[in-house]
Amino acid sequence: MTVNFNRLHTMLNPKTVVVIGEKGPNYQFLQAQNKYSGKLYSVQIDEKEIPGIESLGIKNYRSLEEVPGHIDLLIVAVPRQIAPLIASQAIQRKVNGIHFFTAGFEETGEEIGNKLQDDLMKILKDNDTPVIGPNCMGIYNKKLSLRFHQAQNFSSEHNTLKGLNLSLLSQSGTHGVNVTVGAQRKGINVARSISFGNALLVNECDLLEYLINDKSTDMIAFYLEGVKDGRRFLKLINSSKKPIIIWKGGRSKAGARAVASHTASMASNAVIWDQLIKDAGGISVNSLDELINVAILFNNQKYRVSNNLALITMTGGQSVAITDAFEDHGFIIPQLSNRSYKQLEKFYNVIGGSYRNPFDAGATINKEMDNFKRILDIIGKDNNIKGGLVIDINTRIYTDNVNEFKSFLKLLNSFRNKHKMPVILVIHTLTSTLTMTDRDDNSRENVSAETSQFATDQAFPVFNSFNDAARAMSLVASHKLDANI
Amino acid sequence: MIKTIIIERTTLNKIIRTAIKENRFLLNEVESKSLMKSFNIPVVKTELAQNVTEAKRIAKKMSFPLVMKIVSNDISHKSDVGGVILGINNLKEVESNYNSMLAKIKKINSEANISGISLQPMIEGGVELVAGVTRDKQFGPVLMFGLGGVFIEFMKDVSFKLIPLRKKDAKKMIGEIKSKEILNGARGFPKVNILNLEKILLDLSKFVEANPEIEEVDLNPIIANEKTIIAVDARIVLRK
Repeated sequence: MTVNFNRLHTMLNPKTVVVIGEKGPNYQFLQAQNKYSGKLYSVQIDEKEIPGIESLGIKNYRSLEEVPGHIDLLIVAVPRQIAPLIASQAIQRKVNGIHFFTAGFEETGEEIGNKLQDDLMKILKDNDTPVIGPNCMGIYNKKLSLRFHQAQNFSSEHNTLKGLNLSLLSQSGTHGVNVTVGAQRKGINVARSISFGNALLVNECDLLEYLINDKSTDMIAFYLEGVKDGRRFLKLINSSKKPIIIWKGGRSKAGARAVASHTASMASNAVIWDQLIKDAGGISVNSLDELINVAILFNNQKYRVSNNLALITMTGGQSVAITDAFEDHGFIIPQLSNRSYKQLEKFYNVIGGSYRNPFDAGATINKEMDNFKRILDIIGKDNNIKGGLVIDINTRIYTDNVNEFKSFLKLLNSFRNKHKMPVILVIHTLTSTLTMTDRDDNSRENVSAETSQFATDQAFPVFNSFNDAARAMSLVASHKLDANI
Repeated sequence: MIKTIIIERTTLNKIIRTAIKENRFLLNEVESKSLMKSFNIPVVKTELAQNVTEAKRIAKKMSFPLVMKIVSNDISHKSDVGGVILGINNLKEVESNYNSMLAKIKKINSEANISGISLQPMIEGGVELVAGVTRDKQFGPVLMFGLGGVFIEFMKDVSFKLIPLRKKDAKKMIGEIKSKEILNGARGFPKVNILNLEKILLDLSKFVEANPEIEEVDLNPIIANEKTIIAVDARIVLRK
């Protein structure tokens, strides 16, 4: 079954939305549209519900027929028994596209659920109408302020986000909301989030194809539990110039078949999935945090992360820990050239410090900020360092003197632009605030969050731990290096 | 040439058809190897003996040492029940082992339907590899390659690619196992001829492409060195 992409486009960017059958007291979909820029109507025949709907300032009609004008998107929230009837009425009314929020179909495993889904399919299959769902949260479109959950906020800072637009496709409504909110907090502009549930007609491949060609999408993320057409999915990933990050749920062994042959027993879902996704040029991640961490790197990736890194920390212990984390993830932390070492030895404080790479630089930088600039210049000019600079930030530099932190970031900014290398920051909540003996734990969290936000606003990727940074960077560094379809 | 192809297809159909007719989905070792051979995949010459006399007659044609294995559709893991004996050096040993193996297995599993005992020359002097096929629910048929023998279960050092396999896929999957240095002769291992290895993977892919009835294939171990490559065990499962 081929999807009509023009109608799908209209449905995902609607000028008119009608919500049918929504019930109080929450009116989730109607409430979520309180900033929607298009026309919004309700259809409800239940007399008890109508006053609540009208009190939201939304015009209610008693049937789809009565709604004036063209309907780009119909959100169906009726009980499952009448979903097929509403589907017929929507087709008759020439609704452009339908999102079935209504649940209780094949996902229940019940006979009645399967039958109702079959009934829906019979009505919809020979029709050109794009249908998302059933059993899903539907469509979020930031530009139009079309939401499916009020947590998908548009505070002013989110509207000024620069960088790439991330669009998310999710088999789960919860993750659809969580990725939207979480990514925005990390400075990523989430343009779209589409929760597609049972994918009766429009499936994950159709939506991926749409996003690959969508002008308002620069990178694509997935939450998936499985795909219906694995071969098409891989081909689409392979054809995409936009990064595609895929978080697959249900990776445990229970999903694998109990079989006798060696090949099949090796072939757990997750092993094959990871390898084929990587071969196709996608990035397979294991959690929401990893998904967002990888997106952060792409978002700020004027210069691509690759191998041969410089690592800077402020203490000896941290310089060992950061090196372990990065080497564990396959990174090379090379020695610098002799020339660099000769320059460094002239000013570097080696009592309680080291410049071999990793850098234990606290004593040298604290003594004189100019020293930091000198270190950066030497790293930038050293041919052994090619892949980027990772720096461990102690929040004290932020709390002691914000201006100093600003000039610190300014130096890092000119470093990355001059030497065309990414700079990645690590601000570890627990350790970076340990020296603040006068603070309680709550305010430590706040300081750490504030410092991170400050750096995020300057378009620096910020991670909470060396491991998080190393893992996300390794995924990005190997991305498409050996894509193979 | 045309004649050869017809013969191959006949062999194939007969084995698969017979199995399906008998409502069996697991092909035994002799059937599996015969199928592999008809698709130019090198397998150790293996013959089935249904009694001691036959076993001795077959053994006379082969060069010692030999390997004897139980052939039964009811026994999946042969070595677990004492159904594999290595290093048989003469006809006397063929006879005594034939009888003792049967007696032992009947004691363990009196219900098992036993077709006989297979005989084959014992192959030594190579690296043990594995190649296999399985059908993934989402992606369809995929091919696996890795370090074989008993190590596969513990090391899990394998790589997967989609079928049909292209030449570059074969190259890549050989290069991406962790123990790839072993193939280059590291630490005194026999060096493996990579071209032979690529060919066996590509031929296995072709075999599955040509036979949609195939659900799973296990060639484990494949013994490979600089000169030769040969599968010493084969196991094929048909689709239900």
